[in-house]
Amino acid sequence: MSTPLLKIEGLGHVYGARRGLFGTSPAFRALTGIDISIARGESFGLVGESGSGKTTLTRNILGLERPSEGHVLFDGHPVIDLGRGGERRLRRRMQIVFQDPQASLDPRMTIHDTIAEALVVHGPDLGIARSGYTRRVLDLLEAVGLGREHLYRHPHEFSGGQRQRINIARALAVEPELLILDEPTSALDVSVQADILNLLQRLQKELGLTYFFISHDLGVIRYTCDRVAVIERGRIVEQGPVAEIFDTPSQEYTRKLMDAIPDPDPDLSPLRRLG
Amino acid sequence: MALLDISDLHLSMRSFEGETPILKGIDLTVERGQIWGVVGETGSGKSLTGLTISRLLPTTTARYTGGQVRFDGKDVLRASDREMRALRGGRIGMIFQDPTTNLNPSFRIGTQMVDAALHAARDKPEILGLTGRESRRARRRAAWDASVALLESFGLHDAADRMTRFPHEFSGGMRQRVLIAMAMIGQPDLLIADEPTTALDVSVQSQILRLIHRLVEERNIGVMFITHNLGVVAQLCSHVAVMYRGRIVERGPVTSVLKAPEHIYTRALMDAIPTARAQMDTLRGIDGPLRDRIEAEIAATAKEAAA
Ligand SMILES: Nc1ncnc2c1ncn2[C@@H]1O[C@H](COP(=O)(O)OP(=O)(O)OP(=O)(O)O)[C@@H](O)[C@H]1O
Ligand SMILES: Nc1ncnc2c1ncn2[C@@H]1O[C@H](COP(=O)(O)OP(=O)(O)OP(=O)(O)O)[C@@H](O)[C@H]1O
Ligand SMILES: [Mg+2]
Ligand SMILES: [Mg+2]
Repeated sequence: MSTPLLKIEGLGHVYGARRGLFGTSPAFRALTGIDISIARGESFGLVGESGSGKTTLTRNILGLERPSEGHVLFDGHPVIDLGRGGERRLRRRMQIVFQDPQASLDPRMTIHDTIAEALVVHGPDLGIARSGYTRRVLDLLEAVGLGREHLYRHPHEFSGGQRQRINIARALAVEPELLILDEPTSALDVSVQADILNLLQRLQKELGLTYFFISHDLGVIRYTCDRVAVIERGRIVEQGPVAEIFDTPSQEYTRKLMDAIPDPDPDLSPLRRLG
Repeated sequence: MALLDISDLHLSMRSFEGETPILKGIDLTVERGQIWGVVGETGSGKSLTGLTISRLLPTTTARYTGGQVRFDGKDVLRASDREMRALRGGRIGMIFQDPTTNLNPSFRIGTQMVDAALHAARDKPEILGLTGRESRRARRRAAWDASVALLESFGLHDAADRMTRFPHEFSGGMRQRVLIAMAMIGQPDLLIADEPTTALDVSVQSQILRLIHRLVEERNIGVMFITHNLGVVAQLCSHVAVMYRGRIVERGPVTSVLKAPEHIYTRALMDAIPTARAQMDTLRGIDGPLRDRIEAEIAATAKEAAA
């Protein structure tokens, strides 16, 4: 068996007790005993209630938080304590697309500069010369379905869906192997969401990417992921192929999540029946 | 008299490239007891419509080129700044789309909730069970207690302890619940909620939907609920308006619009929803040919209306 691209073993995270200006916040355990293994080329979904620890887990994967127990291995190597060069190289191989496309783009920079900025940092590792940046930016925009007329525009001139494509283009610029997507489509209307999900699937086929996909929308997870883990209060309560987990959930908690999905058929509204 | 009456609203936004028309004749009436879902394309003007009602767009960039907005008969676009300040957080409750603009990172959650409650209680002391003659301390105490009770009812456990925390110590979904509670604490007559449940998991979401539904039943308020989630609209709303590029292209009772959508854009939206209950091979977005057909249908309708 080959090395999994991402391996999380016995991961625990405790937010430390902190003394602030007005008193102390007690320590808080956000994650306990997380074991996840993701193979190269796989799409892995993570679902769970608000506050269950999803964002905390991604921060540990990215090496932005130090685990309290256990470890995260990326391609066999720990993601923490790498030194400057090691960290830069890791940053390139693992990219994240955040939920809010607006907040993650600098409003003063053109789209060209936004994407080229990533190349300035990582270009040397990728063997791309400065003279090749614009060419590469154009290729990336094309990959996400944006034409060259957009090259010198600023973020506010784009709709939410277009901005999210720009975010994806920027993440792809450095040829990552793992793409972490934290609610990448929840700010978008369903037709734009469909475009982006289809784009992600196409890119996965073409580039062999691995996805770690967080979403509250179980429909989105079903459509995009091979396997899914359900997290409750910092613990994984079940994990397996999406069809299996969603069709025959073994946990009450998962069933509760499934039942809470609002159905687009108004006749099935329990609220309306009461009202 | 309708609670909210928007008629033929036209709005342009200025930038250095000139002025762009954004809203192109919006008509929408919200009566008490109605929950209007507003859905539509990203960038179609849903948020700007919502912000217009409480007049929160910057006068430097927003220009109203026609139409009017009446809240309980009052002409909102021509009201004084003082009148608008009293309405916001008082009779009109708002939840904004961008959560970062809503909570100040440097103040405790409790401080921000209590301020919102006291602001609303200036005109309506009864919302805190007061008469208006109590001491400052008694008012703060009442505002604190009301905030804790409201947060608990939104499923935030240990609310009294949570109130002493700062926003960064909350998960995204917890912050969102605080924002909804802040919009509700003034017991508004009209609630404008812009994507209020987008950051929430489905179980918290259904809890919030039940709460909003209960408020409408009990207090007969009107709601404008902006969302991308047609499932939420189907479950919660009595009516729905579908927006596309600055216009409402279809509207009506939820049961008729979602069960038998007439406009091609509404149908395209319904087709693009992924489901968790079955595996789907393809999802259809809006590609070039489909977009052309949508534009053609809109042009045809406009011609009909003009004739
Ligand atoms: N910096 C922090 N200090 C203390 N506690 C924190 C901090 N960040 C998060 N927490 C707590 O850790 C828990 C998990 O938070 P996290 O943000 O990982 O949840 P989440 O699953 O991403 O939720 P959501 O779906 O609402 O975004 C929450 O109870 C939260 O209050
Ligand atoms: N401050 C601004 N200056 C110039 N144009 C703006 C400004 N704010 C919004 N717009 C433009 O107005 C249009 C409508 O924006 P609005 O935010 O109302 O869309 P929306 O329907 O809420 O979209 P979403 O579903 O993505 O939230 C968009 O095309 C947007 O680019
Ligand atoms: Mg989160
Ligand atoms: Mg909006």
